[in-house]
Amino acid sequence: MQFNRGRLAFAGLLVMVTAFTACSENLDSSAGCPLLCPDPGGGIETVTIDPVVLDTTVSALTGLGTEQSLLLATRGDTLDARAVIRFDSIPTRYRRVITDTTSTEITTVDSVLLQMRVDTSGGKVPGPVTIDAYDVNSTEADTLTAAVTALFTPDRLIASRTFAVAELKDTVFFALPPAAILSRRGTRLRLGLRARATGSVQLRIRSTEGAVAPTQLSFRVTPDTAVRRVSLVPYSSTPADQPALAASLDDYTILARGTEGGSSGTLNVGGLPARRVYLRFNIPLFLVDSVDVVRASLLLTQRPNRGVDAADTIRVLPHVGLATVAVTDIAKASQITAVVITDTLTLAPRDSGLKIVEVASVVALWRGQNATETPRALVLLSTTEGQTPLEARFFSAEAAPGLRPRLRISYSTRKSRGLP
Amino acid sequence: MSRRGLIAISAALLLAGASANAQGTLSTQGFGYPPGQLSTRALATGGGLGLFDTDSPLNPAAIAASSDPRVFLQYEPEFRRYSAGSVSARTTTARFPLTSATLPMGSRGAVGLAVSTFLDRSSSTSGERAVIVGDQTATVTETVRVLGAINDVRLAFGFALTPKVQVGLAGHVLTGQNRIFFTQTFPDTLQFTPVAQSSTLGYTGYAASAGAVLRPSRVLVLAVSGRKGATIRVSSNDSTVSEANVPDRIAAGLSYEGITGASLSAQVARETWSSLNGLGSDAATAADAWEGGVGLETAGPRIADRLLVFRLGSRYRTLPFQAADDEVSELSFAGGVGAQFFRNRASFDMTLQYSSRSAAAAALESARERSFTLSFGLRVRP
Repeated sequence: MQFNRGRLAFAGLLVMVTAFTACSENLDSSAGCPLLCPDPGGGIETVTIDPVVLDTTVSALTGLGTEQSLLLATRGDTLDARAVIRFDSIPTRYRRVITDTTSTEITTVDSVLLQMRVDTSGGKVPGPVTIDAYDVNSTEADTLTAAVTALFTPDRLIASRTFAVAELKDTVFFALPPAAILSRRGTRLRLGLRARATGSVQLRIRSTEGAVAPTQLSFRVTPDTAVRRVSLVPYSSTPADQPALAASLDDYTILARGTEGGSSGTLNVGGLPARRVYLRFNIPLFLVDSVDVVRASLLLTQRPNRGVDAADTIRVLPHVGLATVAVTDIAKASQITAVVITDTLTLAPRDSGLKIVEVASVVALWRGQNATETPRALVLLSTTEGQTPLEARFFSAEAAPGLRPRLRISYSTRKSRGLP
Repeated sequence: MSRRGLIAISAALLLAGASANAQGTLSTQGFGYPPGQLSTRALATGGGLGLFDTDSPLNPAAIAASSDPRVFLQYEPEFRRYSAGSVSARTTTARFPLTSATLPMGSRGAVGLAVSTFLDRSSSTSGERAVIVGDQTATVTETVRVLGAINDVRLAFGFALTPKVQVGLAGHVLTGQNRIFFTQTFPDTLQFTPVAQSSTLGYTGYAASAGAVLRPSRVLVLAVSGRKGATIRVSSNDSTVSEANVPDRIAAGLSYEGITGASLSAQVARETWSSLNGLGSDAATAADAWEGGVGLETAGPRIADRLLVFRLGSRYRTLPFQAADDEVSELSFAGGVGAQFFRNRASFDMTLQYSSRSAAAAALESARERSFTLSFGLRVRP
C-alpha cells in the first residue's frame, strides 16, 4: 500500500513536469530592440544589367485547334477569322429508347439546332450580328488554311441567323436545315462559321479546349416526342493515327486574314496568328549563385502598335523557358515552358514607354538550373494567345541602350556566418 | 545541454560580414546565457551546495562521495519578462541543462560523466524597417532566430584520500552548435521574394578542472575547485571562423552542518569570461564575472512516510556578456523541495527561482529583466 502511494505521488510529479514540458517555447524578445539587437546587416542593393544575349519573335506554334475559344471576326481589311466545327459521326440509325436492342434507320430529321456558348469579353459587337454557317466538308487537310477558307462560298451556305446584341450572351441556338443532316448521314458534317455585321464585328465561341461540351448539334429523328433528340458533340476522326491532334481539330479558328506583325527588330507578343517573344539571358554568376534575390524586374520598353483595337487591354505573361540546348529551333524552344510567375503585364497596344514585369521567382528557379544545359530564358506570351488580335510590341536588344530589355535585380547584401 | 537539436545544415556564405544577434534581452547577449551548471538541488541553495553536489559538474572531487551508481536528469523551463519603459516582452525557454551519471570505482573512488549547458544562445528577435528596393521604398520585416548552445561535456574522477579529504580531476570538452536563421519578408509577395538564410556554427573547446572537498571538523566542509580553459574554436562548414580560450574558473565553498538536519552553505566563484573575447564580433564583449551565493538545506516533515527536504537560497552574479558596453548583473532567490521514492532508489527535486537582471549602462537604465525558472531534477539509482 505504501509502495502504491509512493508510486502515485511520483506519477503525480511526473505529470506536473510533463505539463511544463508541454509549454511551447517562445523566444521572441523583440521588445529589447534596437538597443539590445544590433543591426543584423540585411541591406538591399540594386543593379540594372543588360543580360539579353538573344531575343526574337517566334510563332506561337501552339497548334491548330488548341485555342481556348474560337474567334469569329470580320474587321475589314485588318482581320478575318472564322471557325470550323467538325461532326465526323453523323449517325444513320437511332434507338427509340436507350434499352432497345434494335435500331431504326434515320429517314427524317427535324428541329436541327446548333447550340454554342458565346464569350463576348473583348468582343466588338456594335449591333446585330449575322452568323453564316457553311458546309466546309472537304478532303483537304485542315491545316491548309487557304483551301479551307476557299470553302466559305455562297453555294455552300447552309443557314444564316441574325442575333440581336442582347441575344449574344451565354448560350445561343442556331437552327440548321434538316437537309444538312440528312445529306451527311453516315458521313461527316463540317460546319464553317463566319460572323458579319454592318461594320466590324468580333466575338468568341467557347471551344472544346476551353469548356466541357460547349457546342452541341441536336436534332429530332421522329415526330414522336417520346424519342429523345439525337445529340452530337464536336468530333474529328482525322488524323486517325494521332488522337491528340484529332481532338484539337474538333473545332478550330481559321484565319482568312491575320493581323500585321511588327517590324523586324521588334519584339511582338500576341496578334493573329499568335506570336511569342523569346529572351535568352546571360546573368552574372554571383546574382544567381551567391546572393539572395529580393526582387527581379524585367524592364521592357514598349513600342506603340496602332493596329487593331489599339486601346484595348492585353495581358502579357512571362513563362520560364525549359528547353535544353538540344532544342536548337527557337520557335520550338519557345513552346517548352512553365509558368512560375503570377505577375502579368497589363497594357494597351498603343501605349509606349517603360513596362515592368516582376520575375524574381524565375531567378530563384535559375539558381537550380545549369545554364550550359538549359539556357536561362523567358518566353513572353499573351494570356489570350490565339484568341484576340491584340499585339504588344517592345524594343529588342538591338535598340538603343535605354530602350533594350534589361533586368533590374535587388538582392540582400547580408552575408553573416552567425557570430554574435 | 540545450533541448534544441544540433542538426547541421549550413548554407553560410563564407564571407566576412555582419554579426548575427538575435538577443533582445539582457541575459542573452553575446554567446548566450549561462544557466550555471547547477543541479536542481544546488540551484535552490543559491549555488551554495554547487561545489559539494555530486550532480553539479563544478567540482570533480564531489563525486568521490557517491557510493552508488546514479543517473541524474534535469529539466528547466525559464519564463522571462523583459521590460524597458512602456515596452515589454515575455519569453519561454525550455532547457535540459544537466544530465549526469556517476559510477563508483572501488570504495573510495568514482567516475562521472556530465553534460551541461555552458552558454545557451536561444533567442529570436524581429523588427521592421524601410528599405529601397529597385525603384520603390518597401517595409522589410527582419527576423533573426538562434537556436542552440555551447555544452560542457565533463569526464571526472573523484577519489577520497581519507575520510576527510576528497580530490578530483576532470577533462572538459565544450561542444555544441548554434543554428542561425535569418529571414527578410515583404508585405507584397508578388513583387518581392523573401530572403531566408541559415547558418550553423560549431564549437569545440577544451578545459581541465580539479577540486577538493575537505572536512576539517565534524560540522564544517570546505570545497575548492578550479578550471583551466584551453582553446575554443568556432567553425562553420568545416572552416575555423574564430578562436579564443575557454574561461578559467576558480571557486570556493563552505558548508556548515552543525545544525541537526540542516546545512548552511555558501560559495564564491570567479570566471574569466573575457577570455572568450575574439570568439565573436566586437559586439559580443565578455567581462570577467564574480558569483556568490548562500543557501540552506533542511529536513522537513514526513509526508506519506517520505522525508521532505526544503531548500532556500540566494545568488548574485554578473553575467558574462555586456549589454550596451556595460555589465549585466543578476540577483536570484530560490526555494525548493526534494523527496525520495521507490525505497530511496529515486529522488525528485523541484526548485523555483526568481531572478532579476539589470544593466549598468545608462542607456539601459529603465531596462529590467525578470524571470522565473522552474527546475525539475530526477535522480535514479539503478
